[in-house]
Amino acid sequence: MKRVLRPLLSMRLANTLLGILALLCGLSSLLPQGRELPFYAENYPRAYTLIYRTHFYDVFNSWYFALLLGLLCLSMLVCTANMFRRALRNGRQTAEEAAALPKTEPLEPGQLEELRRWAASKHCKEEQIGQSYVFRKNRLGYWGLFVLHLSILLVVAFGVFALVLPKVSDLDCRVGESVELDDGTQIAVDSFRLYDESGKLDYASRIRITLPDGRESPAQEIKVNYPMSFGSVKVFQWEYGVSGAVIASPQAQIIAYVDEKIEDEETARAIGEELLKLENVESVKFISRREAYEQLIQRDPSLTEMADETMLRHRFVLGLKDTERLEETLAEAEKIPGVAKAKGNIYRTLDIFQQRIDLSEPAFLSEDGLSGLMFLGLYEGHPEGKEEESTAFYRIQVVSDGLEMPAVDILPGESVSVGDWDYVFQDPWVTGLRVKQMPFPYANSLLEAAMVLMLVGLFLCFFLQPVLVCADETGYTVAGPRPEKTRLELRRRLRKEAEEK
Amino acid sequence: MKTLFFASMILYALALLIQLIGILGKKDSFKKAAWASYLLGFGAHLVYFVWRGLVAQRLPLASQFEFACGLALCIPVVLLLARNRMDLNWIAVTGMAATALIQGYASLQRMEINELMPALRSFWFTFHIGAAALSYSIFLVAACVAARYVLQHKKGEAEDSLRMRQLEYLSFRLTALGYLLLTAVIVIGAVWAEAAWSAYWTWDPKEVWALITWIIYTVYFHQRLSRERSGLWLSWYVILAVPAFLFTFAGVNKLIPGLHSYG
Ligand code: HEM
Repeated sequence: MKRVLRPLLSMRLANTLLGILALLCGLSSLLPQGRELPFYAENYPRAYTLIYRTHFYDVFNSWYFALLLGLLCLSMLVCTANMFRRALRNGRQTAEEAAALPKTEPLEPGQLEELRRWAASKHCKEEQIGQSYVFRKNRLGYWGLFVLHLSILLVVAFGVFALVLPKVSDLDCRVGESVELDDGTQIAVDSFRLYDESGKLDYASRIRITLPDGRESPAQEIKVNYPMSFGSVKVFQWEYGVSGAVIASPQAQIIAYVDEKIEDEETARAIGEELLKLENVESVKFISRREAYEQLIQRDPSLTEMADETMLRHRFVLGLKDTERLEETLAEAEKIPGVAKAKGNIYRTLDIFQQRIDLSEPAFLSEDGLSGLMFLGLYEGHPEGKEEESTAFYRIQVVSDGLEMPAVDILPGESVSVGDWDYVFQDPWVTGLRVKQMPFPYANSLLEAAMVLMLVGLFLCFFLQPVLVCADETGYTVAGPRPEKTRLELRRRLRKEAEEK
Repeated sequence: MKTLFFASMILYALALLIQLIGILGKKDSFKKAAWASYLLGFGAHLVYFVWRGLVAQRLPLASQFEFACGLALCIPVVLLLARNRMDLNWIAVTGMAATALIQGYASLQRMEINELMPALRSFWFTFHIGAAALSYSIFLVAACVAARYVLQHKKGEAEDSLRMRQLEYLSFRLTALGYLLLTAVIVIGAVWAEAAWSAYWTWDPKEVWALITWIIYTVYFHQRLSRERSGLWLSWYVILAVPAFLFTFAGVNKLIPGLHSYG
């Protein structure tokens, strides 16, 4: 075993490995790293084979880089164990043992007092053993090298985990909507802003996170450099963009398609109020499914196919409590994609009432092809050039009975009514979120603690060097692992004192 | 205010010239004049730097110009702080030359004050970049001390004389302080990168070169602490390590595109 470990303990090996690591890092900057292979084939056709064979296009993910890092860690591990033993031994050295050390530097008569004064000025602990004095301080410093090497090992280990384990995905989400991750975590974007109060570009989103177990975070603003963590999810403000959307809704009130034939308005209202618990019954228009179908076909026989589809998709909205009919209705309604449960037992499909149209290219939005909206484009800025209120605005043209009006600009939130439809223009901001899912909530803290430990180790090594001096009337010796500073200081002090005399 | 910057540059260069003449002509009064010019230059430089910080409302270390200007400013600060530990005349020539050269480099960069881009507006900005400027300036002063060691050795001074030991020890201590700061720069940079880009380490060229610099100094400490090498060897090492961090600071931005290439 020793024969295997000894070479790993050698500082020369560590330095050689470190040198190779530096060299590899240096070489890696000769070539852009981590691009797709065709990039290299195109830009470095003559060296391509070499680049490919040596994995030089992605040095830091190559097998030889991993091997090098592994060897370095192994060497450090063995060495750290060794340092632990040494630190323990040095720390345990008793004053008696120290006092017995041979005195290597001579002292002139009377200089012992000067040495004691020096030790007192340095706040060393003084112990007298027989004729000898032992001065000590900074025993913690013996642990410096051990702490330093151990922390570097931990940084590498946790660092590799931190690079490999988290799952990172980039998502776009529109204001007012939410996105769902594979594991069921939901991120809702409540608002987005581009500028801060002083008008500086400082994009930020206000988001909420709901974990798969149902826990919901309070809303929090995230911006570049200020991500939000909740559970083991961390969400970063990554980028932003615009993408228009308009909600088109028929001006007629909510239309409720029912299976029964509605005899008169009264019955309809009664159903609406009592059984369906609709809040604003006046605005509900009840139409039987059959009726709706017939009306559609009557208007335009070519719509038969569409009507069939409509009938299929927009099943009834309503059912009656405690009846077989309801059970049936619900069971069927649940099969339909896009059906959302409203309140109580009321189901409805959303699409028939409101339609959301994503606007990325110029489009004509109309039901009959004659009256509607022509969407021309989406621009960043403000239609009246108000820079401080800069946002994004839509440019549209109203078409009524086939006639085109002049183009107008419209801000998000504003609405236009044409024909039987209302068009409400949506906030156009799409916020780009980066979502990092960590294997467990405190994964980052471990790495950060190891990094702080590294700084502590360095501090102990360099700035808390242990002092161990033993002296008697005839001479003194500076012992311990790094005696140099004390030796120089003492020599200068004693020489100065001799000169003054 | 730009005048103050250029005045400081000229005063540093003047200080170097007077110091050289003083050495060649063996005139002590010249050396005093050189120091006066150097300190005057420092005063002007400091006022300019503070003014720039007040105008920009941040630590003015965000562009190549600002960083070089800040780095040059740190050199006299380090010299003045370390004056208890050494005779400033030991490293007057090299120290003044380093300050004037870096200030000269700064003068070649674009000087306008820019608003920070959102990625740079962070709590960590001051600590990360401030520590980097301080660390590099300390490495530079350490190299100045090491250069003096090499010079004295050339003149025939024995390596185990008290002064030579002090010189070598001082260059080690300074390097150690610079190294501690460089480590802090890397650690803070990693924590910042995680907050801004979601990953602690992205093998961005600036990161890679900071790591190379860090490794180069790590090998130095291994060599020195194991007492395998002579003072002369170690001094040459500290001098030859200078291009590594200078490349990290300037070369990477100019030659290799990456996330850190802010200008
Ligand atoms: C990636 C970084 C590092 C690696 C791979 C590494 C590896 C090693 C190895 C293998 C040894 C030999 C073991 C022994 O002699 O007990 C060693 C010793 C040593 N290392 Fe490091 N080390 C690293 C960083 C550092 C740093 C940052 C410092 C201090 C600034 C440092 C200071 C020392 C010292 C002083 C020794 C000698 C201990 C002695 O001789 O008493 N090392 N290191």
